[in-house]
Amino acid sequence: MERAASPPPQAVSEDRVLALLEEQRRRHARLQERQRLMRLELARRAEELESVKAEARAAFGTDDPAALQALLDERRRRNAEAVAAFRDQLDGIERALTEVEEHTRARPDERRDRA
Amino acid sequence: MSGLPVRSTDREAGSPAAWDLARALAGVESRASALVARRAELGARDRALRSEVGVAKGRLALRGPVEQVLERLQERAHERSVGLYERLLTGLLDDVLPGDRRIALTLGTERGLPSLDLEVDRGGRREGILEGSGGSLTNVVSTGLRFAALVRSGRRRFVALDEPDCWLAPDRVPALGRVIATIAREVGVQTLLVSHHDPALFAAEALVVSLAGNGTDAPHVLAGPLPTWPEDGPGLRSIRLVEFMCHRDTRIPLGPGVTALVGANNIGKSAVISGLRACAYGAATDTVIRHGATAARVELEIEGRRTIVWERRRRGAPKVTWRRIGPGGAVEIETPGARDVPGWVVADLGIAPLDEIDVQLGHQKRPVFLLDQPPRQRARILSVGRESGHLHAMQERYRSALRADTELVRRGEEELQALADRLDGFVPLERAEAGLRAARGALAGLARGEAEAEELGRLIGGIGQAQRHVAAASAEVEALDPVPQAPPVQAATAPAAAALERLRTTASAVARLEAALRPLDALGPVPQVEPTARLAALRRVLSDPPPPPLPALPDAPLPAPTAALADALAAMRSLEAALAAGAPAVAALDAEIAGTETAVNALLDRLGNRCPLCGGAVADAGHLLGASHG
Repeated sequence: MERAASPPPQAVSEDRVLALLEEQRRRHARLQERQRLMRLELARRAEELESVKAEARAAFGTDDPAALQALLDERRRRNAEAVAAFRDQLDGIERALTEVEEHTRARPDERRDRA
Repeated sequence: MSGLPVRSTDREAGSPAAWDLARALAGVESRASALVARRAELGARDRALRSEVGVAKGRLALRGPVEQVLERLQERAHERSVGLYERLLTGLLDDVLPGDRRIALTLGTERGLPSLDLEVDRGGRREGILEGSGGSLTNVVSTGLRFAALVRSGRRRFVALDEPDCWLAPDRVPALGRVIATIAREVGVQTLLVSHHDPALFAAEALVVSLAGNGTDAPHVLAGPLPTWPEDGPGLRSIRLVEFMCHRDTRIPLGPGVTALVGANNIGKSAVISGLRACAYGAATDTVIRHGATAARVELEIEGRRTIVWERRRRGAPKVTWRRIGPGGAVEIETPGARDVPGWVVADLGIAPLDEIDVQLGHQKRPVFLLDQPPRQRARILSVGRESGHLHAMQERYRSALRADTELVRRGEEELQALADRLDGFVPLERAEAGLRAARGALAGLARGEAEAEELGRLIGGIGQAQRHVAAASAEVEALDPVPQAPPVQAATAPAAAALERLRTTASAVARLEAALRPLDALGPVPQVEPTARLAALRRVLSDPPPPPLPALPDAPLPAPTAALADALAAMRSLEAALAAGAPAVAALDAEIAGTETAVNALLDRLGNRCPLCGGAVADAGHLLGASHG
């Protein structure tokens, strides 16, 4: 917010007063324009907020950030569990493959066949 | 493989690096793919080998029946090709030389080709025909073989037998004659039988033509009428020899069946066969030209009332000429000077050696036929053993195939066992494949979870950000609302304000002037001075350079009164002195005046060049202080 440092009235000449008055008038106009723009921005932001909330409600049944955050935490926890399970799964598969590969490597005639 | 997008937020947020998981899964899938491919190769080899081994086992299982079939086929082939000859020759032998023996033919192979051995089987004891038996048996078997070879050859069914009975006892000649006649009749072979035996022996079976004299006499037909020929029936009608060997001009009539040419020794019987050989084979030298003659000629009358003529000159050219005379006596074809028998002669006559074996035209000096030839040559001439040879080859191939099958089964089963062991090792691969399928699903689910979490994060962030924006905008709007209206500018106060300002300025200026003038209060009254204008002019005069010297004055007139002058001079000197004494005071005054004017000007400047008393405008101190300003 603009603040003018007002000198003591007795020390301000009339011209100075007038000048100050003009300056304040322009400042007022600027503030009014800014107020108009901010109202527009506010409306846009509100609309945007409502849009995001509607999206959240449609996707997750709520637009409450706290509820959504709880949901997100839950999903992340489940994802982490899935990743761990997946890694275990891959480990199991690799063990089976290693078993087969070692069986194959153990046969010199197999290598000869491949050659 | 489902691909997950690479998002730095995953790592930044510490969430599962799905991309790494996808890469890990891809690596595992690659390993599994290689093993699956290898298992497929081994499986394909296993299936193919099982099929091969199964087929080989099936063939081996049929070994017994197949070998039986082949043996039976071999027996039948032997019967067809050899058994017939065995019966023919044995029957012929029984007719001519009765006895407890039979002719046995044995088929074999030499260097992959059929071979034929002929033996006499005497109650199971076999012996060679040429070595172990008498000439009579050789005569009979050779005659039979010649007929057999002729029938198999496909050539003209004509045979000339030059004393095939040479080793036979005379009492067996009629039997041979009957057998020959029977065969000739049964298989349709026109036969010229040359014999030195009693013509009566052949009278019952043949047209007997007897040669007599020294060749100059016409031959005599001793038995039966002259043969009658059907117009187009195949066969040699006659043989005519002109100036050929001992014959001046001899024509031998031939019958469709057996013609027995008989006569005493050296009467020219074999010359007839030589004539045939000359015409059919071109086998003759100048020695066949009768002594004293210039040329020899042989004429063979064949079917269609055509005659093949062979002629050889002792001198001159062409040396040898073949020609064919048509039914009207015209020459249809003539081939003079040929070294070899013309093809048309071979075609017309149909008499030619077979594999260099003279089948159709026997030779008196070589009564043995085929028995003296190698076994392979016998088999070839008799056209036997080909079928048997094929069967034999087939049996060989079958045995070879059986050996190969046995080996295939042995090695195949070993390999199948090894393959089974190898394939057993791939059992965990099935578990891995199932795991991979589940992993793909899990990765897809994980991707969906990641996407949902990302979406949630995005929405939560979006809501928070929007809320912050709204709050900030609301606060600002609230701060700006209401904005006070600007006060109107009071234009009417301007003159008063200006007057007030002037008053204030004037008062201030007066105050400042008074303050400035206060030090001047110590000044006494301004001394009265003479007007300084003249003094100033005088000063200028005095300060000017002296004028040029005056011209010489004229003589003074009469003295005049000087008192006045002296007074004046005194007054002038007094004035000069006063002037000299007052000059510093004047300069001090000038300086003070200038200082005063400067101070007044400063005050006026601060007062806005307005008079502090009347408020009127003054240009400067001179104006204020001067007489011009009332």
